[in-house]
Amino acid sequence: MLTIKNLEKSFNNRKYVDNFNLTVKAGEIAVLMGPSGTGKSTILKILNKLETADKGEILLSEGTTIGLVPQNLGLFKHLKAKENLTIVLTKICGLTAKAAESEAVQLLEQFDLGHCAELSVARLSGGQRQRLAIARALTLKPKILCMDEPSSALDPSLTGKLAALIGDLAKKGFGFLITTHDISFLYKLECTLYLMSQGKVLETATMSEYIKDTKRYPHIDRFTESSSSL
Amino acid sequence: MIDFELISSHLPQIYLGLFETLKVTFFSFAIGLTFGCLLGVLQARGPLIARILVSIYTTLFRGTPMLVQISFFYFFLPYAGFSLSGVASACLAIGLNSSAYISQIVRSGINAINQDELDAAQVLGFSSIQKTRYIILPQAIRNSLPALTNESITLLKDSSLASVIGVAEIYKELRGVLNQSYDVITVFFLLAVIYLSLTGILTVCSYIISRKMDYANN
Repeated sequence: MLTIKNLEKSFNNRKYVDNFNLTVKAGEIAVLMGPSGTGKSTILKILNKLETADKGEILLSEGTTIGLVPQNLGLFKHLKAKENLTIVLTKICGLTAKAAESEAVQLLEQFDLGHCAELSVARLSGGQRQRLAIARALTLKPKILCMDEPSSALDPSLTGKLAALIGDLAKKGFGFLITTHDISFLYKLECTLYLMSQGKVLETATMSEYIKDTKRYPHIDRFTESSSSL
Repeated sequence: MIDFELISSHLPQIYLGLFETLKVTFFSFAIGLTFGCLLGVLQARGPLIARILVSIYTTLFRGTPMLVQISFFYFFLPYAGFSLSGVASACLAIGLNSSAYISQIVRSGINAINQDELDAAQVLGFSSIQKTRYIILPQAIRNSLPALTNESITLLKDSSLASVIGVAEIYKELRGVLNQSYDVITVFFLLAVIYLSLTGILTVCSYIISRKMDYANN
């Protein structure tokens, strides 16, 4: 379980994250939504130690680690698909080349990338790259997976598949913390929505609560409408 | 027209000249590559003062003719207490000049690496050394190789400038043949063929390397 308490972060005297609190349990999908510049990505960066917080606490229950799939995925483009996994498995996890190879093949199969193992990253489609980035993040066996704007580079048919993949992984017990400015692809998932404004959570609802009565959540509703009309 | 007998009678001289040309090219490139990589890394990742100093260096070497630099190293350094042979002066001048250009190739090769990849590597737990070793260097080298082989072609042609300080490279040797035979057509034809063959070999190498390095098509 991940608990964030009173998190604060400022850049140039502007608070991007302000007294932010959140809990993500195993199997839970938490969605941070809101316009650009509301601190969503900053929170993910702090959680993954790419930024430091000015204040606040990040508490992880024992054995819980966090992984990240960055917005632009950050795949190593000088390596082949499989090598993107094996380099982490050998250099970071300390596996032997042989063990890393079999683990990588297994992960690639699991994400329907078995046939792409020997292709360079540039040759993969958008959906394949996304799945490879998720597979790579899972090499470290994190319990919580952060995804920064995962749908931004995908077309609508692929975002549906991505949502299904996220749903499957959540059922297996992975917790998710997802930032997005477009929640339409998550409609079918049971997730918790957090509408952010100026670094704070303005409104929160589970997806089913929100869909049942959208008018009860005026901020989420207004944001969803404005972002889908773009 | 082309006097092949003249060519065959001067073969030993041609070989010697060719050897000197290759020698000057090789050592100049070695100096250029070593200093160029160092300066390029400094300019891409070093502190502000280092970046300023590298900028001054590159402005100086790129802004003055190589002919002047070669002459300067050969004629001026003895006054400063360093007496270098013609070949050494030429290699140093051409090499340092080349390093100014190579530094910019290496710098842009490093800068072309996506910050997202470095962030991803950090989140995955790569140390700075591992990042440099496994992510930055392989990509910077790949990014720079085609431009570096082009630089070696330029450098090969520039090696003819060493003739002004008496280095007996191919241009100077063949100028000697010209002075004896007055056969302008044969001598300059031969010179053109020699330089074209050498640059041709390097061009083919450059092509093969850039094909191999183009990971978008592998």
